[in-house]
Amino acid sequence: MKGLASFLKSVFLFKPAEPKNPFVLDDFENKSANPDDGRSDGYDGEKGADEKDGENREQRKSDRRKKITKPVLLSGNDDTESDDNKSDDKDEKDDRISSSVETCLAVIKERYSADINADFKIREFKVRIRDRAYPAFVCFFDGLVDTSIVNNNILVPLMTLSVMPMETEDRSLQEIVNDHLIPQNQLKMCRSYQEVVDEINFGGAGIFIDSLDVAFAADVKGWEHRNVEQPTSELNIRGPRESFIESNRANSALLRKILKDENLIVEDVLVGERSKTPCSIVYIKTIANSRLVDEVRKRLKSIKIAYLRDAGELEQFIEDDTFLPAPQMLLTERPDRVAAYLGEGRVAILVHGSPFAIVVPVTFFNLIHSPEDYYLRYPYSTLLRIVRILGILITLYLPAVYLAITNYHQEMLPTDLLLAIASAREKVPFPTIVSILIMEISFELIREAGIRIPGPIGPTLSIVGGLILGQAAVSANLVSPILIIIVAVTGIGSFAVPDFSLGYSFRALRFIYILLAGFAGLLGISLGMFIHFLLLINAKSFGVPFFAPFAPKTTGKRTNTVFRSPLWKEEDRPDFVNPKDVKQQPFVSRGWVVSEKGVRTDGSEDNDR
Amino acid sequence: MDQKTTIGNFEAACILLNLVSTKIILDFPRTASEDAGTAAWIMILLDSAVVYLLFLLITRMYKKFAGKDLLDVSEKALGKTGKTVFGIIYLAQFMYVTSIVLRQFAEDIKVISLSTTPVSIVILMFSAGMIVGAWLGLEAVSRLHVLAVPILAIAYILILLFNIPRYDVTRLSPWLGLGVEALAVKGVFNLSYFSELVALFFLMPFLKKEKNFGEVGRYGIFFSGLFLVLSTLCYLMAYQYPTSTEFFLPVYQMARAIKIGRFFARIEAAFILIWASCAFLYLSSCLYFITYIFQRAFDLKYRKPLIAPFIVLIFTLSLVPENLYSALQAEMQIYRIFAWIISFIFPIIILAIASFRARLRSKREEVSSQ
Repeated sequence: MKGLASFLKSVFLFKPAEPKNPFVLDDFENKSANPDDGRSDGYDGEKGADEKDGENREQRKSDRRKKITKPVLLSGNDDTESDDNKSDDKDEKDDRISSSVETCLAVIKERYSADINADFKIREFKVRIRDRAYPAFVCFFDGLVDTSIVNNNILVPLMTLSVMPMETEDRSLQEIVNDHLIPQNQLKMCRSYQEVVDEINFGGAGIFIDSLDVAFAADVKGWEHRNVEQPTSELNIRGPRESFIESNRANSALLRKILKDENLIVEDVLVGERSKTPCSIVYIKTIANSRLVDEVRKRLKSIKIAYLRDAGELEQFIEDDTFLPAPQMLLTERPDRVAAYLGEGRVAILVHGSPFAIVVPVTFFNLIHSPEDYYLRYPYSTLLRIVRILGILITLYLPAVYLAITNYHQEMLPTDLLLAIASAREKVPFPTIVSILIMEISFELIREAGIRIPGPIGPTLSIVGGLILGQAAVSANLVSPILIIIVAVTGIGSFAVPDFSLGYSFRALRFIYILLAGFAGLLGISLGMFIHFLLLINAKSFGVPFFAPFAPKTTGKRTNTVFRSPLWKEEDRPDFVNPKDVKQQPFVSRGWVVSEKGVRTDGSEDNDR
Repeated sequence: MDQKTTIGNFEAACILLNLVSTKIILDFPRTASEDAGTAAWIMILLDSAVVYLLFLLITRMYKKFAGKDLLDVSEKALGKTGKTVFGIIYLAQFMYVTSIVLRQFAEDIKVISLSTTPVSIVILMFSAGMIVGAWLGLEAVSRLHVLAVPILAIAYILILLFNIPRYDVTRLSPWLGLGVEALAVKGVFNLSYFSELVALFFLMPFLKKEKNFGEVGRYGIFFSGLFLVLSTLCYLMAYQYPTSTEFFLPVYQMARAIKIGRFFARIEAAFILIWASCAFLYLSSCLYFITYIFQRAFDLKYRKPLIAPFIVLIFTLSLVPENLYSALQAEMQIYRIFAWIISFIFPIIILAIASFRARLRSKREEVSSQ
């Protein structure tokens, strides 16, 4: 009741909106105080204040609910702050690695519940240095590490090589271990248990040696993973056939392999308070707008979530508008596609455990492009894009327009076609809108069931559902044959939408258009289109208007939006991304045309050729 | 702090073009032909020229106040009271024209296709679009104009082109139509066809390049004038006077006449999309201006809470005329007689007073400094 009352109150009473400061990607590169490091002070400060405010508000709310009257503190706020600092210091002290290996062992065993955690392994041994044996142990997760590396690069040197003669007289134990005894390429010296634990959780091995107040964390990852395979959702005939896998580093390596650019930055951010999922912000330092990189970093760092498992989850946490009926970022499993977008000045986000990379910012037009567009000659890819747009229009509007015409605007149809439709519908007892809804819902059922059921049965179901049910429905006079054609063409059109998420959006919106057409014919469709386009035009993807460069009209060229132009004509990067360097290639990118076609380098053409 | 809304000059020009030209798909060519007979196109041509000159004058006077809307200028001229009074006047003008046009669109759609639907339901559907448009604000509406206006213009030009076989230049004779006197007298009142241009003076604070507002206005007047003249000329060439005074929806009539082979004989229903799109753009822009003017006139902090009461008012006002004929009368016999004064003469007066007072002030400052 209380919820209902507050809802009604919110409907009828105006509540001023909270002041907003939406991110707009403009070309003022140096607006932020320190654009290159991007860890803007303002942000941290803001975050701190916001967090505090939020916590206080939550506290106040819960207090109100519990009806607790808090005693007024006599000593004021300063004392509480200092208490907090004290407890923080205490925690830090407790977390510092002890120089007694026994204490370390006890702490690690407790942290990992080693007595019940079957895959957590601890190997105790002794290291002999300067004629003294130091107790030590190494711990790791079985299955996450490559055990041969643990044996050969950690245990063998520490247990056997340590007795070999070395120049160790004036050096500390810590230096000797680090410089001579662990021949491992990635070795981290940790001063707190938490650092070691984070490394162990992500496929590292923790090495503790008595009388050292540090521990070593060696990167010995060796878990099972999929090999790089062909993409499954973005197939192509031309172009590379590699796709991302579930490993973050493998994915960044795939990008490096394509771009071969020392300016390609892969910046790690951990997301998830418990999962600490490594995410990488990938961009080309000399092209990507620093403010855009800052914004991506800011959004990622601000996420408070326990576990992050996939890029799809991350997308929902960083998108500008949750309720917009269209995705605002591109998720792709193709490294070549991501590399192309990075080259335009966009930013990619890789999530460990997800075979999809997120690309931001994107416009509506990026979502209707296919990676193959760039590998085909431009007349073909332009034709393909037209076909794709036609597919989108059919998916969204064909059933609705059919319904509007048959219900409200019969005069639009030529007489012969009208008679054909009328005779086909003659025996059908349902109104057209009911028939359409039955068929569309059935189609969605078949599609959903086809994905969920085990592989070999999938095609059988499609045949049973598509052909036999359709034929039976027509024979039983439940729907007209023309309607079957309409629904089938609509379904085929939806498969032509290259972006998976956008396809879902169109599938859902199709039903709204059908209802509007059933209510008011073409006027209903117009109303739907007006609101749909308004929402899309009003949207932004990381500060970039969703319909750029058309609405708003930007100053740059409009190549590679709806249609494609020859690759040699695409001299500029998209201006709405505001890259640091707009020029992608010179006006004459094909040097040979200067001599053979008489094109001068200043852009003018030789009239005498 | 909220991000300041800005719109490009092209976007502003598209808004003006749509606001002025939307009447073409309502009753415009017919009413023009009623007023000046076969010389209606000359009357519109002259009107366009006069409006252009008036606008040049206003542009010159406005230069000192670039970036300020008309209400700011009226405050400079006549103080807070002046601002409120002129705010109410312009608010009344927009509300009057919006409610009449809303009723006309609803009636037209009802006649064309939704013959059994009550007119209030059709008005409600338009109102839904208006609310969303006004809620999302000028930025979204202006961007949609940029996408839609060129498409709508092409669609309209196609209607004119497909009618070419029906054009006969001799139908334009007698060349001076109902006579020079009718041209002159009716021509003055028909300056009101361009009355929506006043919206530019409320767009001023949002223009990215505010110094170039003259360019926006000139492009707006040129293209809307071009479309108004073309539509009248083509309509009069397609239908002989006095037949041309009989069709209540002239452009729809022209669309109906299109025949491209046997298969595409009745494609006029597809033009409902054009009708409705124009209507949604026009009406949502108007609702935005209504709420904006009210907010500015009374110095209110928020605009969006005004959308609900004003849509109720407009909905109610649009139902006041008994039928389509009464709505048309309300437009032709009342609105058109006064609108040109409010849209062109009032701004000139306001600007003149504001300039005069500004000059006086500067002189006074000079004297006091000496």
